Amino acid sequence: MITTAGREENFNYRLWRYDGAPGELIPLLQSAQDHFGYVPRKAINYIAGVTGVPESEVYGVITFYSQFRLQPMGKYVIRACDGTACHVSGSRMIIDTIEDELGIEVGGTTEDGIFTLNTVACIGCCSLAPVIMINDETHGQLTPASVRKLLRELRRREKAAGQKAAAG
Amino acid sequence: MMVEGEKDTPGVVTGADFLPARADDREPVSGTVVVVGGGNTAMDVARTSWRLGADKVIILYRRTRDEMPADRMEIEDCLDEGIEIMELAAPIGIIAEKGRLKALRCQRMKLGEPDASGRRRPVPLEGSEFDLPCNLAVSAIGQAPVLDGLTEIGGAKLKLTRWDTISIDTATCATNLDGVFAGGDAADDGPTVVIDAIRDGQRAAAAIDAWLRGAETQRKPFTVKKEFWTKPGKAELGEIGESPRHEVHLIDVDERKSSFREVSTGFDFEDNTHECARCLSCGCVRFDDCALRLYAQEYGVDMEHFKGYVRKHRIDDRHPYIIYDPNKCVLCARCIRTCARVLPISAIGLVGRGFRTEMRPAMNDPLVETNCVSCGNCVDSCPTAALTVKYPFPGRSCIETGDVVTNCAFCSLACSIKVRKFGEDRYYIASSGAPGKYLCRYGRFGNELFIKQDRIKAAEIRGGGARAGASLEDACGAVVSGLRSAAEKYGAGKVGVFISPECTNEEMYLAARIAREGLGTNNVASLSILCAGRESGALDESFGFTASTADRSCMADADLFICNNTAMESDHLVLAAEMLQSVRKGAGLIVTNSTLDPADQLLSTIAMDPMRGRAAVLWNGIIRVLMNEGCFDEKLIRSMEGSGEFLSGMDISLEEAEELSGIGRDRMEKAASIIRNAERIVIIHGPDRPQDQASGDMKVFANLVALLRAAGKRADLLLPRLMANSAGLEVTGADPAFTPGRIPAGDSFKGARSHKELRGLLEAGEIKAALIIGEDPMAWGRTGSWFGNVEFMAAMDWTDTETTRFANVVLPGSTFLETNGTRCNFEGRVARYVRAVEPPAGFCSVEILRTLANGFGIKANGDVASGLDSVVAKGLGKLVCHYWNKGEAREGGRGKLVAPGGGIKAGAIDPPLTHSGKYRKEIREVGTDRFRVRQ
Repeated sequence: MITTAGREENFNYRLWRYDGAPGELIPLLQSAQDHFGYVPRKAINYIAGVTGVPESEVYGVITFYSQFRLQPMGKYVIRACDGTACHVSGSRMIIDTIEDELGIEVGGTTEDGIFTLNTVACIGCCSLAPVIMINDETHGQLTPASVRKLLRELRRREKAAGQKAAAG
Repeated sequence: MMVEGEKDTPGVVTGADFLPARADDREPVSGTVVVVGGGNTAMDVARTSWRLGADKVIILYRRTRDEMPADRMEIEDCLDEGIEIMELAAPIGIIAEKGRLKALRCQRMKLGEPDASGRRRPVPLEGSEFDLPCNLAVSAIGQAPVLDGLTEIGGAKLKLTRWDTISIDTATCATNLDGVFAGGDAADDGPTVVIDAIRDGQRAAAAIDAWLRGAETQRKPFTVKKEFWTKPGKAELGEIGESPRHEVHLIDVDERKSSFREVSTGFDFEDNTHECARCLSCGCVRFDDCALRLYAQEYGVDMEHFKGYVRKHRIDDRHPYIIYDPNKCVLCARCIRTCARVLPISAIGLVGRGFRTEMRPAMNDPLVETNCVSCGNCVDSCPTAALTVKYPFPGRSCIETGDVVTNCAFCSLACSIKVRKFGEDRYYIASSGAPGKYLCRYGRFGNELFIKQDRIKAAEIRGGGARAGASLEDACGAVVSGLRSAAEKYGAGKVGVFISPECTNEEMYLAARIAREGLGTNNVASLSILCAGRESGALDESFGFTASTADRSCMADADLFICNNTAMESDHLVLAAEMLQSVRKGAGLIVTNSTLDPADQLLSTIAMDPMRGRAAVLWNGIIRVLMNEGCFDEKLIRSMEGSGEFLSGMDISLEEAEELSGIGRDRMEKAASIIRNAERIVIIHGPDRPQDQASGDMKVFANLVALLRAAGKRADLLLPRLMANSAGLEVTGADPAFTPGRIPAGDSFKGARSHKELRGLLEAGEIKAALIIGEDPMAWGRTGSWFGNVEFMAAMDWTDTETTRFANVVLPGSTFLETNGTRCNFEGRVARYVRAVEPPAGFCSVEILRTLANGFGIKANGDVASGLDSVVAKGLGKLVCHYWNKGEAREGGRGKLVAPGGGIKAGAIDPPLTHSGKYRKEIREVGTDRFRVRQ
């Protein structure tokens, strides 16, 4: 595990040693994402200034590659499987339910920064279809009702933890 | 009717005979009239008979009313007029008595199976015969063409339809015989209405023309409607509710009887407005020239192959002038290349991947909040209607009525523009369309200035506090007597004529003549130039003229550009684009401005930001470095004219220059080494821009040019002016120092001899009467106080300003789009301006000035332009190529060295006294380097 300080050094170091050679844009963006967890607006502005690549072009590169995120990841990253087995078992309905419950679209993060929703092609437990992963935990054989319950439970837990932290 | 005796029984006629006969001779009709048929002819016969006094009119039709081919409106009007419609009945015989018609024998029908036309075939009911007594029977069941002698051409048979009409290809009206075309009632679906025949005629004409030329016949234009993809729903229509069509107003039935007055009185004005407002303007504005549509037509695209799911993208119309509709975008990225490679902007890029890709600014921000300069060149580059301009008038799908090519007068570049007109007083501005021609935001969208403001439409004279409308002659008379009486009372030296540097040469020339010949004063100048503290003829000592030493063609092969006091990106975008082409090819760029644009920093080889008003010091420092390093050695300088003054004036040391300008020696040395290595140098200096004016800067650059030329390099100085015709002032005589043709003004006139003296007069409040054309000094404290003691002021402008509100007499002016004339652009080229739009006052400013000049007894009736041309050309002599440049070669004089100035005083930022100056300021104030517009 890289410490925060180490990552910071990494990003700064990259910017610092940049000598105008073409082809450095993606490594710079990667180190920015390593550092911040996503590519913030400030980083785009800064990288554009250093490399001389216009902001519009930097933004185009970021949106072209799916590895770059423009928003921070939520505390719980939901990976909803939309592989063949899950798809035929109604994963679309599960994803719609999650979108509805959280008020976000696939690829988005809730405003409170708790949930991020992504889809994946298969997570290798087709016997449990339809299945989602929340961080490292797998939840299978879901129904719209059970997935709603699961999300509400997580949200309740977060709220309680937040209140406790505020009180403490 | 296909019944026996219909041709020879009196009282039985055909509709085609009845109607023309009654049209010429309104012979009354009596008794019962039976009209057989269900078409428009039958309706006309029935309604005519009713008007001619028939007691009863019956329309006999073998099908039901729903199958009638007549227009619904006709059928309803018939019923309103009391005409009876007898359905499902057909005549089978004529009953005559004493050789005259007595009744029609009819038979009832019922509807059977649908026939080829899709209508249900009438089937006779056996045993249902009945007699219908009548005095007149009119058969109006349609006519057939008589094709006798036409069916065979040169031995080849013409193909006919089963209705005995000529069979044609409806798109081209071509028959089966090569070179034979047919249309109208004789062809295809037989007799219909006249408008269909006209349509056929148009189509046939185009096809015959193509056939004669041996060209391919024009296919029907390729179109795709919105319904092809999905029926437009709430997403497209938004808040637009249903709005039914207005009913047409009809006159009362009583009024119709026995008169042939038109039944429909048409729409009232309000109805028209309502009907027009129902238009959703959903047509595509680029229908005529959309490259995608034209290719689809050329290659005969079959849209059925493309049916299926379509992704809907969000339309972005947040920009004040530009709409982006990604649904029409073909992702060619021409707009992106134009923005990034032609112009140094890069506001937009391709965002996303695959089918989701769109053209968007960084971070998906609204375009107007990015570094977009709103020049609209992306719109010109778009091959489809993905990028379109917002028209400054309602109705996006208006039909264009014509283009007028003229020039832009927002700055001195005089770019060619195309005024695209949509009927009266509706227009927008586009680039001339030639490849590589661009426009800036002022040129393209600046005309909003003229559209959004209320115009002065008539002359006004102020009497007792209120302004009252007056005729042009009266107003001109008032101006003449007002100015003359002040000149008599206080002397001709106390009156002045002031003209905007945006006016045409003709207007300036007339203003100068009014001042000198009409009033006997030399006080004629531009307040903008006076206020900026500039002297005319700043380079006269060095070169013998004060103008750009070359035209813009010198930029194409230059290898070094020096930009001082320029904001190229925002003020002269088109010039910047031209410069950029050379910079991208490897030319160097040195920028010196107290504030540097991001683009300056990115593109320049070296950018220096001296303290405000100290550019002259910095450049003297750089000249000093070049002298020290031997680029300009003592021997070379000594050999030049004026070297003594120059050397004694060049007493500035490098240390002083470093200290006073705030630029380090290393950077001056770097700039000097770039200059030393360059061979073809272009210096671009903005003489009008107030931000970085330094006293003596023009002379410093003149020295630099002279020295570089002496050192064997090619060096030129370009002076892009902010106001369209600043260069014209000196040439046309609207300058206290020069009479037309740039001949120094002698002592024959009273008043000031130079700008300095005139400014002195104004500051001392000694001007007692003034005529102000197109400038607004009263809006600003500094210039307003100059006119504190005036007893009479006349102002000419196209919109109300503080000055017209203050003035005793107001004359209606016109904008540059409304005035014929010429302007002298920054290269000295004479640019022609065309009256593209009609001035609301009915006459343009040059016509008013001519009337005014007549009032002063000056002869200006002839063509001012030609007179001006010869006067100026004669006066200019050898200098004509610099001021009245018609493309001939310019002599490359070496120039004379002069004592370098090098003051270190930063001037105040002048208030904008002209309209385009104000407009520029407004836009700039909204954001310093980012262009944002308050809606």
